[in-house]
Amino acid sequence: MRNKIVQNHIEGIVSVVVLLIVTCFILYLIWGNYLSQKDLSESIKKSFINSVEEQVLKISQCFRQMQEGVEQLSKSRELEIYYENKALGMSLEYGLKASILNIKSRFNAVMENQIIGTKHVFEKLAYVEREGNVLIDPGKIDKELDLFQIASKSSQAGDFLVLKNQNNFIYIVTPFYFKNEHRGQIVAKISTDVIKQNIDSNANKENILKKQLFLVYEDNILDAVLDLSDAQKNQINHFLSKTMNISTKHLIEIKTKNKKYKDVTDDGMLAYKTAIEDTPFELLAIISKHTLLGKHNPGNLLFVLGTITFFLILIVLFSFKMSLKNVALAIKIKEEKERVNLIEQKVGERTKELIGLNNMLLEEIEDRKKAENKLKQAQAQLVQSEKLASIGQLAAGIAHEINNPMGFIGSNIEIFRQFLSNNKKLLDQMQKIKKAINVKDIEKSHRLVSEMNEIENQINIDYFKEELPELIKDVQKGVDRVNKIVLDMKIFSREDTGEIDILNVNNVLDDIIRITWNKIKYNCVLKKHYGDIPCINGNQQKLGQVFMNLIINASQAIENKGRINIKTYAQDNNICIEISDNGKGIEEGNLKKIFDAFYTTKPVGEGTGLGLSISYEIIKKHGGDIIVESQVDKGTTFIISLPKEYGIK
Amino acid sequence: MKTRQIISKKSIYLYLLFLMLPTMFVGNVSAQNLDEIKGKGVLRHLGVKYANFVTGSGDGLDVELMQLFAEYLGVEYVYVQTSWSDVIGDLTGKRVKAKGDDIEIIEDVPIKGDIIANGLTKLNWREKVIDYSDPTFPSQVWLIAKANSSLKPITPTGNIDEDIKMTKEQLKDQSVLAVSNTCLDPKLYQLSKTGADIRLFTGNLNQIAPAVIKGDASSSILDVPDALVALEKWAGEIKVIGPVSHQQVMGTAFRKDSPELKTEFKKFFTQCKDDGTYLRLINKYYPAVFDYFSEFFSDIVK
Repeated sequence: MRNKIVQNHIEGIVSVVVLLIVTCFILYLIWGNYLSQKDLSESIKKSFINSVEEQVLKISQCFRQMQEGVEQLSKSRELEIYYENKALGMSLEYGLKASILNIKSRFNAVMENQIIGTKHVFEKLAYVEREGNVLIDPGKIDKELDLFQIASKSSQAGDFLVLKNQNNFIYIVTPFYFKNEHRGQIVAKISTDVIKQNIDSNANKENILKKQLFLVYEDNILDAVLDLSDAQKNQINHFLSKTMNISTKHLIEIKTKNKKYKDVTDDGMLAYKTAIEDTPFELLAIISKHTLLGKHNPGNLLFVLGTITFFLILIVLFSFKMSLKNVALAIKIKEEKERVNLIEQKVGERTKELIGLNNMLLEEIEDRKKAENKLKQAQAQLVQSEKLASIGQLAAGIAHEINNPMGFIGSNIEIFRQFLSNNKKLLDQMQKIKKAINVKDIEKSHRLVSEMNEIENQINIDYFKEELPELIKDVQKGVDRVNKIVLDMKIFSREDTGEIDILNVNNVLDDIIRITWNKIKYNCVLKKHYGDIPCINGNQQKLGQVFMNLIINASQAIENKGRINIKTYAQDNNICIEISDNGKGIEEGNLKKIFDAFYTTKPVGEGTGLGLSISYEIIKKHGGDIIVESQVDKGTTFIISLPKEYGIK
Repeated sequence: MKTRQIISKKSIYLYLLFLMLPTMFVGNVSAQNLDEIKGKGVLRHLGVKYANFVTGSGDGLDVELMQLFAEYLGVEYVYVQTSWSDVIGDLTGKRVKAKGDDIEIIEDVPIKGDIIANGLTKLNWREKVIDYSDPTFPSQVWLIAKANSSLKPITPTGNIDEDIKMTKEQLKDQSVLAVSNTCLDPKLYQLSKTGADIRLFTGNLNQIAPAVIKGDASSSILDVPDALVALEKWAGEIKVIGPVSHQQVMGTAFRKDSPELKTEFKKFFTQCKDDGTYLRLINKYYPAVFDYFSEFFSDIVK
């Protein structure tokens, strides 16, 4: 056992070690993934920078396009015509005004035709002569004119300008030279919306990026290149102001807790600033690290990695603890198993003993069954004996009962014999008459007829003619009666087969009364009060035996002359048979015993003591009941109730 | 002068008459009132190639205006090319000659058209033989000169009479091109009194500026619409010296026996001004004119 415990310990430790190895392997994979994610994040950052640079190129191209548009105007023939006509001394009223109008038309045409996306590039175009007068009026607002004048004075060589408090607009100022002499400035006013439009039209797949771009001019942020709400502007305004000092073409990471850069205070952002070529503008791209890196943010991965490691360690510790528990549990299980085996062994032995005992018991049961069968056979024989005993008691009566019809049958046969003898005489006389007639001896024939008449008178032929049918009928009745008695006896005395028949109890009673009649008729008046009762399922012989017992008992209880009443009726779910007599009755002390086997009050040789006992059993087996009411010297009544639930009316 | 040449050369006249015979026989030479125009389903527009009124390229301010008028009438538009010398006769059937503000009927000629529309300046003598519509376009006659001419652009005084005077004063001994029987007829502006060497130009009006540049004359009178076109086309080669006339007006011309057509045009033109159609056409062909004659267009520029 101890060795096994040690072995279990080793197994637990091995499993923990394996788990540790697996854990290390997983951590190695995660670390590898982290490194790859880190590389990926660097790659994403580079991609971000590249996309910003691409945008810068596009914006630069946009600026160049705008600049070229203005430069085209600076080479326009209309301006030259104006100065040519002016040089010729033409007045505005007579000719020169037309030239100005032509310039205006040209400017208008450029404004109409220069389009980026859906927006016109130039919001306004003006021409300001070097003398300061605005030749081409871009609008009707004096304030605008002042702005153009300021713009025209801001640069002589052509430049991009952003005026103070005019962050939404960029001015491109291009000089115009007529015959190599600077004559004025073309001023184009451009909305930053055009830049937005330019990025919109070029950055359909970079929606995230384009919303983070800002134009920077002389360390001032122009409005966001793309639309931002005022709330958003306010939120990032502080941050934007802090990004001004970042070096161009450097991606910086901005954190609050771990300040890599002193001047920035916002958290989780990446900023990249780069110059727009040939312009005084820079493009500042700001994007949240989460937006840019998403799931490839190494910081996030480190957090995830740490969390996974923590849980893995927890799992290992838990596994170790579980392995120790498992070892203890294994030992306990082992001990339990041994104990169970011991118990099972004992149970097996006890089971064998029990099987032996059970076999013995089965043998005993078998013996008991055999004994019961013998007993049943004995009981059946006893019943049969008792039945035959009853018949024996009836035998004299039955013999008398048979003898009586046999007596008048014999008498009648004597009368029949006399009739045949007389009839022979008549026949002989008739043959003689026939012969005499055949020989035509008339006289003799007359004489013979006279003799025949005398014979008829002697034998009283009329009497025979009237009585003979009745006599034959009586004989037949006697034969039938004998047959009936014999049949009843035969039915009653035959050995019981246990058959169940549909019985009308009234008929069964009549059969028994017929058998017992000669026994009881001398001292009893029997009255039947049969009710309209339904048939029941029952054994005719056994019920008949019960009724016979009760009727004979009743007749025997009547010492001199008495009365037996048999009454049948239906009551509730039963049919009831009352057999009562007005005999001597039964003493109360004996009433409890009358259904006991071998109990009898009759003299030795007259009763077996089994009649009522058997009757009781028969009625019980029919699901019925039998009770007795008796008063000494007044009589006894047996009431049998049999269930009629299976009865058929 | 040209008429005289044709009359004198009978053979040429007969030849031209021969050429016109088929046209006469097909019935296009008769006068038509409004009912007849609608009945025949054709409006014949008499035009002379001139500035941006009739460009000769199938369009022009008056070409488009007449096309719209034909559409308004529900008839087909037909352009009938003519010349400044023939345009009145082609409309009225009477060739006439201007004599100051009066006229002289020279001969009967076939009627070729129903309406004149090509920047026809409203002149007194013309009103003797034709009816004008309400003014459709403003005009003025300027003096132009070659760029290197000694003529110097005047400095406007704000007084048109003074400006005209200053301009004319420079014409003494200067050669100047003019076109008789047109709005550039020198008689209309009494150029002869200036001491200028007046040279009648017989070519197309659009060719006057090139003629001046070429040196056919040191200067020329030119109506403003044509001058604006010339200044654009030959910038730096010609210059405007100053005005020789007050502001003039142009209009569409009808035969005097076609008052119904004139009335119908009046309705049509009013509609064009009201619905912006005319403004659109002016902007298309003469965008600069609003700055010069803003008052004239005050009713359509709102």
